[in-house]
Amino acid sequence: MKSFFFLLDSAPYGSEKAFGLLNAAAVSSKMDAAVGLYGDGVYLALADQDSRALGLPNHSDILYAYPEIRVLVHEPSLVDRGLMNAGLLERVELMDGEKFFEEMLVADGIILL
Amino acid sequence: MRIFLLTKTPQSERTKLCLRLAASSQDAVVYLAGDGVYNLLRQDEAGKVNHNGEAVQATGHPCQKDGFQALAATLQKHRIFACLEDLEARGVHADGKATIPADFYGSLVNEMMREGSQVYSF
Repeated sequence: MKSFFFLLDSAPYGSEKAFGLLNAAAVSSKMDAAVGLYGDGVYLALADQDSRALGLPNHSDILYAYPEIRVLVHEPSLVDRGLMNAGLLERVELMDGEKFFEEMLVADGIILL
Repeated sequence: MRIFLLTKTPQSERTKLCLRLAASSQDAVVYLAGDGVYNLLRQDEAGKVNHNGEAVQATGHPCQKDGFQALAATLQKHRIFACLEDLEARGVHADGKATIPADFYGSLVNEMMREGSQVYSF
């Protein structure tokens, strides 16, 4: 089975990148798909997101709708943003830098938007 | 073989991530297209020196590591390929720092189609 690593390195709201990437991952959920949150993408891992004022879908709902997609969080990016003590979505996996990069390199393809 | 297609400038976070991953791979090759060809610039080509004698970029920000220094630390010359049209469009000279295929995209696709190849685009 082909494996794909969808890397989100930009903020989850304010552009369509996260929404597009999550939808691409959802379409690929029958394959071995993982979403990696890196850089500003780690904001997607925060719990209690409320996007109603933006008139946008809550992106964390997409993550919960596809439990077969792994969600990996680059821990150093959380640390850089002072988010280590913030509440996170229950289904995310925290990874140190080395482990996160290993996960990227074992994938057949990396997709960024 | 792991093929990295890099289209971002040296200061981009994606470039740093790409080179980090390439450095972790024994069999990596990097294809530079678009703004990715700026990674062949050395510091003296990309920036200047301030009144303290410190290397700075054209923007005035201190230089950390020039694009080619980072790239060369990651890969040997024969594993770096650059697109001639994109070099010319940006006035960048490869000066022997990379291989310039006559058909850049043809070469890239041939590598991609090889059995066992993995492709990462940044």
